[in-house]
Amino acid sequence: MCLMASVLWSQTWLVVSLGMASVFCFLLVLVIALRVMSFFATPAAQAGGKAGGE
Amino acid sequence: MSSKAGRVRWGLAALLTLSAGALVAAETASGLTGLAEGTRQILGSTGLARFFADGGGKPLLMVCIGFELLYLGVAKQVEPLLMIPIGFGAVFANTPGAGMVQEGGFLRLVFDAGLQSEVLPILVFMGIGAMCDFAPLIANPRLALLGAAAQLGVFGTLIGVVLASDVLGLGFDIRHACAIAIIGAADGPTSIYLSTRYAPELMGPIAVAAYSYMAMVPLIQPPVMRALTTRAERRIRMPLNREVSGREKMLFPLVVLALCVLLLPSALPLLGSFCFGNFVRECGVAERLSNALQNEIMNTSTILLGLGVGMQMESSKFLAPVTLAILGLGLLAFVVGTAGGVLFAKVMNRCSPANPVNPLIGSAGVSAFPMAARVSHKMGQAEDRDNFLIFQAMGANLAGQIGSIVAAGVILALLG
Repeated sequence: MCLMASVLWSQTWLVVSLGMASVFCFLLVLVIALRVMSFFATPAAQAGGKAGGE
Repeated sequence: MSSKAGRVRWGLAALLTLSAGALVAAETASGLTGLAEGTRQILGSTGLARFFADGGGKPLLMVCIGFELLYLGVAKQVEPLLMIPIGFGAVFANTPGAGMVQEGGFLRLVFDAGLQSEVLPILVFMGIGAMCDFAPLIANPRLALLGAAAQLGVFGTLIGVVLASDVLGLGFDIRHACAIAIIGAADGPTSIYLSTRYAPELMGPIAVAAYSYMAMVPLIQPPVMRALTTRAERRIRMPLNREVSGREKMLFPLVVLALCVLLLPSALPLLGSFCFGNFVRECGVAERLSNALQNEIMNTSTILLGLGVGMQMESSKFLAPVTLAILGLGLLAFVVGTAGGVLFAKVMNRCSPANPVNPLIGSAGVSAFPMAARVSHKMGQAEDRDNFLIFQAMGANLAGQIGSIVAAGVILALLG
């Protein structure tokens, strides 16, 4: 019983730490990808470096 | 005169036919030996008799809960598009003798073909993708990080679920815990998708908790947002978003799809269908498909999804202490997710003081689209009437949609 509980807790910490890190990494890569996409897809961004009021 | 005689002849013929039919029926019906027996059989087959014979009144209680869901959906406008089918599904599933949940029954068919096979959540995601305009997120990509931070609601609640399981002796394993914790994603189809995989027996309470709390976002989030921010922070103004070109909008789902294919294929069923719906909307050459996804497919899928979830509210599964635990943990998930988004917005302000983010939009990082964005905007306007946060909050809210699917995908990748 105690062993099962400790296995459950170790799995939980694994999912929590890896899960949060993975979600952040994925969305960080998405931020970078969107910036690259906007740079190539918006002529104003290519000309002026930064487009809009961000 | 002749017509009167004809009518009499017809009347006699009908009487004879009926008598003969009744005799034949009496002979052929098994176990029906007389009037008293037949009457007893009819009375025994009524819902009133069977409610108490079959489940000690529990199915009747669930039928009442089904009607309560209808009341919430219609009178209180709590997610009516889902609460109405779920309410009816609960009534159908708990009426003894209806046979709708047995093998070959309508609800069983809907559940097996639609939910068990994961078809309906995927179709709903296609519809949601076709209904979303990602311009606010494309214009301000860093808001995507708020969508990541709000997933603390999922992973923080996971710890709460395991703790509750330990303390209350609920006997959850890691898969059950993840299926419950995903309520924090504030995303109905994702919750249903994951519970289908990991805890189909808990799908009823999980879906009811997810949709109920999504509808209660205007009540749950403001106290948390107020507690974690100062007045000065709530008054921070953010510049208007730039114009987003049609080409950017069309490329967006392809970029997300490429990242999903390369980095997180386990999220592809949900994120891929989401991207498909959005691409159909933005490509500009498939308007009929886009309309079909936004209307017919979305509506049909929503109805069947609601009925399928309602079917999982059978009294034997729903009326258990674990349901109360799930409802409590679901509330915790929404609170933690809101706090995660708000606090991360404050961290972003520390890191980039020249380009501040109003922390109120952090709460929109939980999915609950578009309710959470509206709450952020309203709270901002309560402090400063000229502060329009709706576009930035929509950006965070859209990021929350993606973040919640990514969280589910990561869990699927870790646990299989």
